[in-house]
Amino acid sequence: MSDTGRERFDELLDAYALGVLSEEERREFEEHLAARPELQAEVDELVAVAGLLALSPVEQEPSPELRRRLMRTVRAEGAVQEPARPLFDRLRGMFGYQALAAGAAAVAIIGLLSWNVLLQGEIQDLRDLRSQPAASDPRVLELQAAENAGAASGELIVLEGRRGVLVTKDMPRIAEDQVCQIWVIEGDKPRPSGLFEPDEENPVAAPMTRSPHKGDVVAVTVEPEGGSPEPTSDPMLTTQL
Amino acid sequence: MHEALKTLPSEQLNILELAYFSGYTHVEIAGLLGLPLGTVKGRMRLGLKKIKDYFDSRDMAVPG
Repeated sequence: MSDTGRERFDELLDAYALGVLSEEERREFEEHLAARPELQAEVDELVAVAGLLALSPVEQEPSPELRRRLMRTVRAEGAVQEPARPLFDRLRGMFGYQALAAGAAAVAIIGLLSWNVLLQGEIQDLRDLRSQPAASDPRVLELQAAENAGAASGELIVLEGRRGVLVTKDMPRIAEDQVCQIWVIEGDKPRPSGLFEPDEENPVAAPMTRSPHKGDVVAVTVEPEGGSPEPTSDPMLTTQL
Repeated sequence: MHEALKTLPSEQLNILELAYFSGYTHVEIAGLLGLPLGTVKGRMRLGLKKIKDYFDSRDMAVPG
């Protein structure tokens, strides 16, 4: 990459991670990144760091009680209960009611404080929210499983203006030196969009490091540990926006 | 995470939270706050770096 290219990349990197680039700047940045896939890991890490802001600020260590309270709040029909925690006030104020639950999926997996993955009941709550109208409804798309995917299923939760979350369950067991990789396929170009370890017992909510746009395909493949710049195996799960 | 954020000066923390949650672009944020864009970018960079350094120094992996 030329000096000015790298400079420009550095200039936009933090804003990209925080999601504050204009549409044009985002495209410019992603083009730079596509030409330099070795920078993807650096970008992914900064996106993950920025994603931790979803946990701010909390007065004490988040507990399972906190999550239960959140899910009770969003399950309540129509009624808005005032959560005690400033974190949820802030998120709800910014994103609206139903969007908060999808944010919780992202927060649960991003959770540095070792929150467990979402339990079945909470996944169901997210599905229930689809039927409720809201100002900023998160879109939930079912993923189609390929033959090699066994009983696997997944949902893509797209939160307007924010990166998506992919929730998968019953993924087939993968080897120790393998990882599941999420791809956003724009036209015919697959772009790495996050990694996750499947869990045989619990659904896994994985934040995406790249936002899918209308017409894009989102897919999951099994790749060697650390991920690949391009898919090296057939997709297990796919959906199209 | 709360501990990590306590290490940030308030102007960095405010910019990061505004950036992350508001849906505005960095140009709009600079306009809202009446700050030069360069200042906003600098604070975002320093703030993110501080959070990352917090975890690196404690040998904790940043999840993602």
